[in-house]
Amino acid sequence: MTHPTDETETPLPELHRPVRSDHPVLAAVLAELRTRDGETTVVAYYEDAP
Amino acid sequence: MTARPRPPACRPATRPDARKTPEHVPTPLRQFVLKVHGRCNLDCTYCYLYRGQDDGWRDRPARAGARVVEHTAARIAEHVAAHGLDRIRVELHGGEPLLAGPAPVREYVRAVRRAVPDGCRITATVQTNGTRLTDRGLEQLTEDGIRVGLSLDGGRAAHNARRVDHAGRPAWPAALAAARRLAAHPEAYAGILCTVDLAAEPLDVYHSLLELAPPRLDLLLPHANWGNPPPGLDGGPPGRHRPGATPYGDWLVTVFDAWWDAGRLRTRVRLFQEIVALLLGAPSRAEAVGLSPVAAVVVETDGAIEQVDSLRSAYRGAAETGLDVFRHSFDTVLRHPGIAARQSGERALGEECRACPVGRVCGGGNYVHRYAPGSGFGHASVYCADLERLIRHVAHRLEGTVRIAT
Repeated sequence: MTHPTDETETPLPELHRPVRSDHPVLAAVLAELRTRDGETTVVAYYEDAP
Repeated sequence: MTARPRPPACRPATRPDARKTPEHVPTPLRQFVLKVHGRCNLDCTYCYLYRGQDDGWRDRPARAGARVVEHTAARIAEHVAAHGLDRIRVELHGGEPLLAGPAPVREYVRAVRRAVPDGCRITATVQTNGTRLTDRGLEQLTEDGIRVGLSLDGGRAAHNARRVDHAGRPAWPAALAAARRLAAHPEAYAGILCTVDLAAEPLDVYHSLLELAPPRLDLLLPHANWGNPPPGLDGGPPGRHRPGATPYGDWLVTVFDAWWDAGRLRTRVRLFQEIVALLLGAPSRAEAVGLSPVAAVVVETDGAIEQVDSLRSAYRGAAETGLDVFRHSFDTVLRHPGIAARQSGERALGEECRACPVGRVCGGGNYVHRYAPGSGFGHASVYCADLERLIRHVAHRLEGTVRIAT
């Protein structure tokens, strides 16, 4: 498959974080993000560690 | 430490002005990747470390000695105290860190715990190919609160055909036994890292890995760059070329849909989770996407302080800093141009990425995948089209879900 050429300049949708969700995977992500909210600086970790 | 002098990196992995940018404020290191053993019992056919162009590992001692361990622990403690850090991660790496059994891993972790001030939480993880993880070894690691992460290419023998020992014997039977041991000890199971292989069917890889019950999973793109493209993609001049083939994006999209639509959380898939987080406006915790400062550093078996190993896939010496734990603090490391570049967020991106509508989520992808021989790291990723394919797909799926949720 190739990436459609007419989409490459299209902005990503502006999505607002819901407080909660019935979607089980999204709910898990939201729960993790709440812990992230309390951090002054969120850092990126080396990917060769789980 | 062996007295091998460490030359400065021959070509800094950044624009030379990155550390001089007035607004750049170094972020303290939070992740210390400690090489316990510098050799591996496997000879994986795609290994960027032992089969790559940078064979600097040959000059280093096989094991980290007591002096290296003690100095490293003291340097970590110094850094934690200087910055008042309340948590850090310690990753025990190799080579194969369990090559000499669990004892050296335990000793390293104990040394760090002894040295680091009270009040700092240390998460210790050993990342292993699993072939040396015995029942007793797992028990001992667990006693010291050390989690275990596995490196696998899938959950079946066929997926792991490229993971063989030096005699060509498959690693899979022993790795599978390790995965089963870990599944029976979830408190010690950190997760699985799996490098994407286009030759494997994505859903078969994903579902077979789920059978091994990892609490976390990450799907890693093979280390590659514009001069050394990954299987299935062309290299050539760097840039955001469109239309472009997206075999990795397609592979990952297939797995994403299975993860997202499962009806329950079977495992946390880091890459997908981080893309969702970024699309919702949160910063990333992973170097694969986003613009968060990378807070990782490596200590080699001889005490040399280096950047992450993946840089070695770009060119020989790319990971070197010329620093070591005997003479240098980790604050000195923060001033190294290569480290500073990876803490510079958008400023480390090339022009094309800064103008890209997907850039705030993609973040240029993994830094090492941006490299082009002769011009460095200021480019789009060699996986640019694949990342855009995946991110736009996740955005589309997430948009539908968020609309329903609100």
